[in-house]
Amino acid sequence: MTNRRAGAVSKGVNALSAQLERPAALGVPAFGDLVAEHLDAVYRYLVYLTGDRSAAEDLAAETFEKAFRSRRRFDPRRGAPRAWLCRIAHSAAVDWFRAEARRRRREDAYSRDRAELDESLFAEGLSPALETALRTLSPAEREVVALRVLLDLDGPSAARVLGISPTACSTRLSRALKRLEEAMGDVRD
Amino acid sequence: MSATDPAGAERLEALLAGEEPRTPAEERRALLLAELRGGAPVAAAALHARVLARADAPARSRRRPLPGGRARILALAAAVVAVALAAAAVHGVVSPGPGLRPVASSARTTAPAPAATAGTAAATQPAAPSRASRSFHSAVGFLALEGVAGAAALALAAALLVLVRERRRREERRLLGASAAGRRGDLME
Repeated sequence: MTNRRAGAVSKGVNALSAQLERPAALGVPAFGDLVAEHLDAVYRYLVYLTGDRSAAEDLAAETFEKAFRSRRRFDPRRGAPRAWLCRIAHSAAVDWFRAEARRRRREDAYSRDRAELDESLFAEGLSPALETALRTLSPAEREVVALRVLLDLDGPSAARVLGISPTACSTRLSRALKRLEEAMGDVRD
Repeated sequence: MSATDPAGAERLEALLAGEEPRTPAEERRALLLAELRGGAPVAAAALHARVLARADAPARSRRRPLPGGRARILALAAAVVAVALAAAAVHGVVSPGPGLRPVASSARTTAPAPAATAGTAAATQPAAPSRASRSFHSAVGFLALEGVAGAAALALAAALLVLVRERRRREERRLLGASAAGRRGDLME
């Protein structure tokens, strides 16, 4: 009798565990689908934010690992998966910037930036004028361009990722685009 | 298209949504947006494989995942309340407080009452409260003291949290805003 009851309890626990391992059943997309759908977007965002492709690759992998670990905490009512992933990526990138700043302080000559000048940082398809103009923007400006233009996030979602108000987000985007246009004009002249 | 102009922000949203440009300035901006979108970087197949492989590794582990942030806070709060109640109960049992307070006698020494009135007061003096009642009152008093101390500690912790968050936000702004200045310096060299 006791054995039968223990078996039933164990069956119930196993069923619940299986349901949790299949987050799609709870309204959360399965992890493989999440990777297939959003890895490119997260990578784009990180390339624009860091201006460093290899760092963006590492950070994208780290982002998805963190997302996988905390996937049960994702609440679809609080935002789209893409915005959630971008928030994780943002915090990973800020940690990276912090580590980079420490490294820069340690090293007198920060030679890597100069080494990167010859190669395309952001994408092969961009014109040299736009590529150079993008380099003149701050990471915060490139970040808002990536979120709003490349990833097509709406204003409130992008603002939540950045931790600012939607109005401030819109202003930052407008300024970033204006600066891009000006920088491109300077490069062409 | 001003950065702070609401009409400009509205037009920018329209351009982002794919509406036709109306002015030459908007045309330039639409071209810029199209070039940014067309030249967006794409994650390599190796990165897709790497992310999926890293996500597979923890999935195989049998370890139970830790509860989320909210659940952890709730558990901690419940534990604190339980400890506070237990401490108050122990305090009530160990030191139940004095029986009747010798207030009447001290009052009599400072302001002697007429003999008749003093006799009546002695006759109407209430019976000493039971030990259980004294323990209960002592425990309640101790609990109130704990509550005050707890509230003060919470207020201090909240203030510290706000300070730490503000400091982190300021540091983040500095990191994301200042990195481009360093890079621009390198570009100009």
